[in-house]
Amino acid sequence: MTTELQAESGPRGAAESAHVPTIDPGPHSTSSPATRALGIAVLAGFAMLAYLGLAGTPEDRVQGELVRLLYVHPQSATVAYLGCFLATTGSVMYLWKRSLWWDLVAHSTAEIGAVFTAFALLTGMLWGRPSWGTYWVWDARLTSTAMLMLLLLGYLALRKLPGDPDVRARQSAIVGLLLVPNVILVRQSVTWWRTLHQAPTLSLPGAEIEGLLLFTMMFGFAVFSGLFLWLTIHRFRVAWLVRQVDELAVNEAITARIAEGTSR
Amino acid sequence: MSNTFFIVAGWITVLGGSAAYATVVILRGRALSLRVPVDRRRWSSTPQQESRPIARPLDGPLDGPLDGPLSRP
Repeated sequence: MTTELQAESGPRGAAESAHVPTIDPGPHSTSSPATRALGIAVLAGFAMLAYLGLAGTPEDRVQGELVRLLYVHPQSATVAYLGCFLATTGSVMYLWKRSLWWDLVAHSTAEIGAVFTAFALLTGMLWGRPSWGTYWVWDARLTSTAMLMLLLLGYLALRKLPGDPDVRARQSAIVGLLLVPNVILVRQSVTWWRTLHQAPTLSLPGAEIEGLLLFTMMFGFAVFSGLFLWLTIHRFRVAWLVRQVDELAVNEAITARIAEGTSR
Repeated sequence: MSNTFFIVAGWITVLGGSAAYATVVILRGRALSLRVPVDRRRWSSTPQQESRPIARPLDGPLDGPLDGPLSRP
């Protein structure tokens, strides 16, 4: 089949006409009805969380107003852990099955993990300054989290290297295997070593977090999990589209080459 | 600086950062969607669209990187 554009403009036109999918009538986004519903639910959840976290809950007896940062800091860290867990799972599955789907899952969730690790570090620093008198100390929890951040950035840098996509995916998957062990190190650092960072609030001996404070904290975990799910779906679709565009570019080059050969 | 500064800064970091990242992801998805036919974006196709023939420059090359003209006799 030959398009009118190809007939009119020759081989070069054939290559350019490979962009014809732009006339595609389908909706141009990564949204679907389900993600739109989830997005609205997450937005409503964040509005509710902001009200509860900033105004609706009382001060803590020990931490005072600073407890309000604990409605976003541990939640950010949890999303980062989720991202790393899925990135390692995707890496293992890619190395086992050699499936593009798992490679894209690993890439997408690692990026989200990096974003939320940064949030966890920043909110932790903002909590640490008034609580400890300093933004940063090289204790085990903070140092291991910084190492996790560097590992995630290294993983994402590796994904940007030019070259064979399969080789890149395999190399990235090998780095991705290190994420969960690093998360375990971060998580256990407060129990394995003596740190300035407190043990997990909910498992702290003698900690009495209850009532609206406990509800707000748990509600925050639910809202952030919803956000993670929404971001993962959209980021995965973006990664899928990038791969499709790359394949279309290869097709375009092949088509142009063939057209060049037949025109001689 | 009062505690309020640190609390507000922390919330803005997370909420603003999440919103900015989500916006980047959505805009990038929109830009890329324009370059990919709907049959390669299953999440955005409806039964009506799936039954419609999609205009293609050549019959075949969109099926896969090495399918199409090369595989023909």
